[in-house]
Amino acid sequence: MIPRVSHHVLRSASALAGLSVVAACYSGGPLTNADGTDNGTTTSSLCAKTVPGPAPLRRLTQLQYDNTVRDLLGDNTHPSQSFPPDQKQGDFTNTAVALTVSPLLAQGYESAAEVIAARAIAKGATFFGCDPVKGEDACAKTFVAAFGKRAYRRPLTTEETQTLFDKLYTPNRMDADFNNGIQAVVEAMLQSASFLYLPEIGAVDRKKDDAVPLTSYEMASRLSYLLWSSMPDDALFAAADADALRTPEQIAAQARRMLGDPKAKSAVEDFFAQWLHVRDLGSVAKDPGVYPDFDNTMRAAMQAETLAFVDWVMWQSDARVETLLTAPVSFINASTAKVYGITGVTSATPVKTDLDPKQRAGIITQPAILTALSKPDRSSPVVRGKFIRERFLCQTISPPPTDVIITPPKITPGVSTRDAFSQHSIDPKCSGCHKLMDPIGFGFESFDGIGRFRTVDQGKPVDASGSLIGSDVDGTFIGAPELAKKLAQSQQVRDCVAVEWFRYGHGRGETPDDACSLDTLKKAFSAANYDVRELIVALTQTDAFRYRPQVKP
Amino acid sequence: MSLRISRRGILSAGAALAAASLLPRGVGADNKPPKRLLIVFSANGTIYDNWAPSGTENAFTLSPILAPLAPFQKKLLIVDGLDVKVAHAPGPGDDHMKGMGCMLTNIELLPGNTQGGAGTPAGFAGGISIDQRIVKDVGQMTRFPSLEFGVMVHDSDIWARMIYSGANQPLPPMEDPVKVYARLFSGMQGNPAEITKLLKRRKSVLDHASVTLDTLATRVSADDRIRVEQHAASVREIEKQLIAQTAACSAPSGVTQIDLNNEANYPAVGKLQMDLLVAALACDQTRVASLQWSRSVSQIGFPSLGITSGHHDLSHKPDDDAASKAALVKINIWYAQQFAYLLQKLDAVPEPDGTTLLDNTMVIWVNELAKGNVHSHSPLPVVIAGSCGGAIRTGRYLKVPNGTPQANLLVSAANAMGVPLTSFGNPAFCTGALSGLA
Repeated sequence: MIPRVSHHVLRSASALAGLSVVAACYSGGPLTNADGTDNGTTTSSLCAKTVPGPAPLRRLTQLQYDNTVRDLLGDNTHPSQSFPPDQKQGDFTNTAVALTVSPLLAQGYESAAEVIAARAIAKGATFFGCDPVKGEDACAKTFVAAFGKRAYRRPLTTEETQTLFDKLYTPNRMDADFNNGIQAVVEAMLQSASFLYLPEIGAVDRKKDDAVPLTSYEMASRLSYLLWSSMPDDALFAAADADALRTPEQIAAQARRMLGDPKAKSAVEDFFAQWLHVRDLGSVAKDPGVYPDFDNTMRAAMQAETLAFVDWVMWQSDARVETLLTAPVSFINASTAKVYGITGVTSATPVKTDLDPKQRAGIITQPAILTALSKPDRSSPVVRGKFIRERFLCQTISPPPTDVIITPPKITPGVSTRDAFSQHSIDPKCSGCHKLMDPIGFGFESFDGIGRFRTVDQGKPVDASGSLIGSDVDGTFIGAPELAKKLAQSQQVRDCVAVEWFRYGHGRGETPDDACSLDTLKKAFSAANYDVRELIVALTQTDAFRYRPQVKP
Repeated sequence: MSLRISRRGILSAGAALAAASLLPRGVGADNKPPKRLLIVFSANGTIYDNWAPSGTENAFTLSPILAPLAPFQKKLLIVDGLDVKVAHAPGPGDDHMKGMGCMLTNIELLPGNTQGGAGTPAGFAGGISIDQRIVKDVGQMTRFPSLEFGVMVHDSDIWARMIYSGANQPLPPMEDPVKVYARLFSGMQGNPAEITKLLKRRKSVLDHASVTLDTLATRVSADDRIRVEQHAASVREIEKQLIAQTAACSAPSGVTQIDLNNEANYPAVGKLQMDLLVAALACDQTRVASLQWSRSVSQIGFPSLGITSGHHDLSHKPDDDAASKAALVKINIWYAQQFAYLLQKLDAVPEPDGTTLLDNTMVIWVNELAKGNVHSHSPLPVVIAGSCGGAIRTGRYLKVPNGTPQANLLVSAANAMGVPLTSFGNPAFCTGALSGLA
């Protein structure tokens, strides 16, 4: 059976007090009250015992596969592009239980391994690390041990080394074809369980139900795949060789070092691209009659813009949630300039540009997100409101009642999108739950279906006034920049960012066993003034990251 | 130009060549053409009053939506009244997810962490789909146990997967015609000696992969073990493909790179995929296949039909919205035209006994919903084409009693393919084979 992951487990009844009118419509809420106090539970009681939560076996994602072959073999060809896409469950495509291997994917691994290995072997002695002319079998043995350790991210056992030499190298080097023997070894490693998965079975399980600390090699991989979406580097291997990835201090020091490496961009971009639907934009279609400018170039430019902004916030600015949500700058190129109505930008590379803070501020006003959260022919207050609820407030909206025929409003000249959705507030079957979404989404009505600022919609002046209920920053606002300011001050939003990172970082949803880990995480985030870089470091300090449960066969 | 592997090359590879793979194309053990199963999917329900034929079982007139199938009317069995019962059960998932994940598995979705538009959060389907169950019996006869084709599916979530090799084991469709061509038809490069060397290396590499996976499976938790064992099974399957390379296959022409993100290419990609699919069946590379148009909740637009709204948005318009209804009818007619093209291609492939590939195939066209705006699961619009070597009596419009489990059709499909099932999936939602098919 698949471990059940529930969004309801952390629901705090007290957080919903006073919301009886909408309480039936959503689940999820702040674990910590707005005033910063815990809901009747102290950290010490949550953390009385070391409880790691589940640790499902993780398979390399496509991004991790590509980055790993880059770092292992200097191969920058992104071979996973030919694989079927990683299966998606929940908010992210790295959910461990969904990453199965179909025959199609197994064949993708086979084909990729063949071309990757051939490219590497063409480099000859540089790649082998020895000169086969001086003794082929000796060179092969050296290669198996040295390359194997980097491929498996731990030293090979004697048995593994022997098998690779006897069953891969030897039979395939017949007819004096050394390269074919090594090719077989490399292909075999790239298709082995130890390369494609991150097994955590090195430590000897202690007594039943104990939390098991990870070995230093397993910790090196946890760190490298969290921070870099790739394999450990020499420094991590050296630390693992010295068994120096055991204490929280040792782990934090490595995490900080790794955040300073440009490789950290990849995992961070992947998180934001998935969390904020930027990646989904890749397959979003628009009605060319309504949005003739929207094409593959503009789609790619929008994605590049948001990722450039994320990079700037994370690595050039202060990495704070508030900056992410409110900075009135973006990174615009010739294509997105058309969306912004800016003239004179001709560069294909995004250029940092100041924006009118009354119109736009921060990530939720960027075209990539606004476009992904629209219909093919119009904006969508419902989808945009639901997005804020789910991805920033970590609340799940209940579905419509089964007896409602859902009828999205038509575009009618002279009727604004906002007015077209008025049925939701009239029909009592709809209004109970839609009041949690539509009034937030109305605040985005200044942006059309591809994120262009507008003051007129269907011939009517845009009304971008909105309101927020069921949160710790309830109240009215006008326009998305004002909403962003509210969200930036919300404890619930900050906690939600921490939870989303937890889900991404562990490839699973949170469970009751994660209460201490999440509490630790949120407190550390708060202590760091909501610096997301420090949140990532804090992820490595929790029980969930440092331990795994006993394997129960 | 690639050199297709010769039969001598295969034999000299020395592996344990399955005897079945040496049978000439189109000859089964009983000297009759082999039977094939082909499942076709299109999304978001239909417009029943424009879909259902009129008349009697044996004398019926095709509806506007099914009119494009007129040339094949004698080879059709239109089944009206089936109900995806399992989708009414209180399991996880919304109606689209349940339709997609349950219509071929007849089992509830697993609990998970994907929240749909209704219901509780769901995971992937809880069991094997009927085609893959049939594969267990007939899949060893061909190079590929089955082939899954998709047309602009794009996503990889629960709404985008209908074929399952087991619980939580969705099989992704191949979406890029160029890659399909390479996988099915490009053959192997090089002279016989080089091919022998390559096959030998591949075999040792895949053997090693299986051993490492089997070893890992013994050391992880029960939940993880299922996934690792599935991976090992996938490796063993591609290992069989090494030695069962089909000798002579004529590949379709005109397969060139095409932008899979541009919806204007939807018809062109679909045609290429159908051409490749029929070619694969024609040279017996597989006997079980599926073709998935887009996905559940498809938002594909049809500007060439003058339809600019997304399909799913349209499917939610109220019944009295005449313009939207007309657009939905047009979309479903378009899918019927594609289905007709597929049937025409299948019917153009002669078999040694004078029948056609279509005659020896059971093509089943399904939808994850009956009616889009109410998310109903009955009466499911089901069209069967081909008699599967005489197992199905065609040329009929079969009205089954309302509430007949759609899972019964899955049992019948297995029986038609020679797999003797009496129930499939969750037995609570299946009462045995559908009567009146033969």
